[in-house]
Amino acid sequence: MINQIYIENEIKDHPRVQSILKKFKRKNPIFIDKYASVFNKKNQNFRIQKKYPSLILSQKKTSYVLKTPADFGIGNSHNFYFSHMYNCLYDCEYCFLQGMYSSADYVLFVNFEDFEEEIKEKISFLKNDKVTFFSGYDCDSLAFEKVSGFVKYFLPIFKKFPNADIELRTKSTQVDPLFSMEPISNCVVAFSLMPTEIAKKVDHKAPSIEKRINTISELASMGWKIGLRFDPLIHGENWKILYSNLFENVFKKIDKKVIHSITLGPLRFPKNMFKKIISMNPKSKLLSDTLVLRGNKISYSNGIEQEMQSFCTGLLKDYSPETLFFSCKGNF
Amino acid sequence: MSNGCICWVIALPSEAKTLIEEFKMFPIQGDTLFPVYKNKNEDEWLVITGVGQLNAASGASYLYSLCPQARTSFWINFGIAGAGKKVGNIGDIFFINELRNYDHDKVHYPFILPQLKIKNAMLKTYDKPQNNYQNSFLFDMESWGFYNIVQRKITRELITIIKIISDNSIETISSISKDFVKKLVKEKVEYLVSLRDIGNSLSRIEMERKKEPYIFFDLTKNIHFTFSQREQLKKFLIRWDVHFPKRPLFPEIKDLKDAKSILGYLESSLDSHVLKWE
Ligand code: SF4
Repeated sequence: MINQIYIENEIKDHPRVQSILKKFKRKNPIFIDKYASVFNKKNQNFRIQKKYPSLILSQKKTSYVLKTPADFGIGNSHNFYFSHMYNCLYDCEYCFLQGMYSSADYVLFVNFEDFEEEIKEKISFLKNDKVTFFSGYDCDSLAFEKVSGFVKYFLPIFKKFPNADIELRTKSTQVDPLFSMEPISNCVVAFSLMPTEIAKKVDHKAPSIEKRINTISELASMGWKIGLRFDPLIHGENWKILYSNLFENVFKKIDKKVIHSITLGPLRFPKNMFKKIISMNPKSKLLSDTLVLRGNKISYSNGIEQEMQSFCTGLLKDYSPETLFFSCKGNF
Repeated sequence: MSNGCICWVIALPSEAKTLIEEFKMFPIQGDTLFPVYKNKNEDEWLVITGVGQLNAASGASYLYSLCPQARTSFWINFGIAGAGKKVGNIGDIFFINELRNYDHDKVHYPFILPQLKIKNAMLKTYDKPQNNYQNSFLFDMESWGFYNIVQRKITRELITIIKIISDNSIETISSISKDFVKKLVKEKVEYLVSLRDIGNSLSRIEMERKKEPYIFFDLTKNIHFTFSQREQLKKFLIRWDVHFPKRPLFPEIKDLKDAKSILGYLESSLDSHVLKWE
């Protein structure tokens, strides 16, 4: 549900804006000079906005494609990310976007062509190397597809550049564009997963784990390459049993041959963001758990983190070769 | 769950009268800088500021200093406004979604209230009365002063501006009288009631978020906690409420006599707790 639509004056005639507006016939847009006049102002409340988010149609002017943080990759030597959107339809309690922005409004950058140009530049500059582009860093790659048409636009571009992989990171089961096209060998559809019992409590508004697994299974049977992202790993009573069940369920339904990569990531927050996140959501069980300051990050103690990482890695080895395991921690 | 709290900021007594009656407010006693009203539960407050940006800003600040729940209240600037002929008819009520000042290019976009069935419009604040009815917006003499000051103090989602058109042509200016204004407000009071309901629900969200743990006050009244110990205590008590909502803390710590042992007890209890997800 979109509370209001704002449109930057400069792009009001952009064809993508026009076609998005057709999807929201009953909304009278408000025209603004720049998205920052509405988004991320001082004294905004992420939690209230999250209940009633607005959509801001904007154009990005610089920094279309950025290098990922160190320790973030799925096997290729160069890694970039790009964000066609800020914020997300879902509402996960551990989401760092709550600490990054004070607004929960969705900012959608409609100038896909400028992203495309910079992506192509990077690909041609690194033409002898393998490169991965991560989307869904500041949003979910697929959840807003019906409005944005992001996947529909970008996948055909990547199809032309086999040395460049694209990862679509998602929890969405709205994958119609993927169902309606031939699988692209350099596209990894990466699903975030965690035990059902935990997801029910922390992945608000996101599709259930069962639905995600079913969607993965359908995509896999079509031949799409699948990424499994067990990130963040979440601690609690019986966590070993919960994760064992999760892995069993996943691999019961998914053909191992289509798995492109598996990553495990600890629960972590940059220190400053955590302060903001918990002040917005002080009633969160997850955020009220015993978390400690380690360097610049807030996380479980080293002991818990290591134990979870090695236990889960151990289990996953029974299902999948270790060569598919990668780290996407993104040090900060 | 708390009730929420509303703070009305209104320029003229004739604009305020209907609300004071409808919401059963009475004037607060003693010398006050501006006339201030509140209801019996102290969850409805109203200040009459007088005309102009400066008065609106000072009146809002004054109410902020008086109302104990000001930081988590829903703030409404309500009153009459002029409007371009094409914007609407006399008596039409508007929610302001874009706020400008005649004097510069700055702009505020107030948070759009969900489920409020009132037309939206832009409003520009001037320092002098206006009579240019060719404009495509509403105009008044207070809203910018109000919004600009309140948005520095509280979260923007809790600030709103609602106006009723009182004049939209030179001919209509002469009919603005106290009684006419009261009549305009009376006719729209049901919208103000529904606005207040929405405001209360947003204010409640903020109150819940900022609520101090219930025994914080009792503990710090009787036992000395340093500043940093108080901060730590607050954090522990919030976590306690989250993890042990049905386990009253007081009986467990009643024999602990100093801040250090209370904090130690809380920390070890919380750290040894393992979350249950099933
Ligand atoms: S799906 Fe990802 S981006 Fe969306 S709320 Fe959850 S963690 Fe954040």
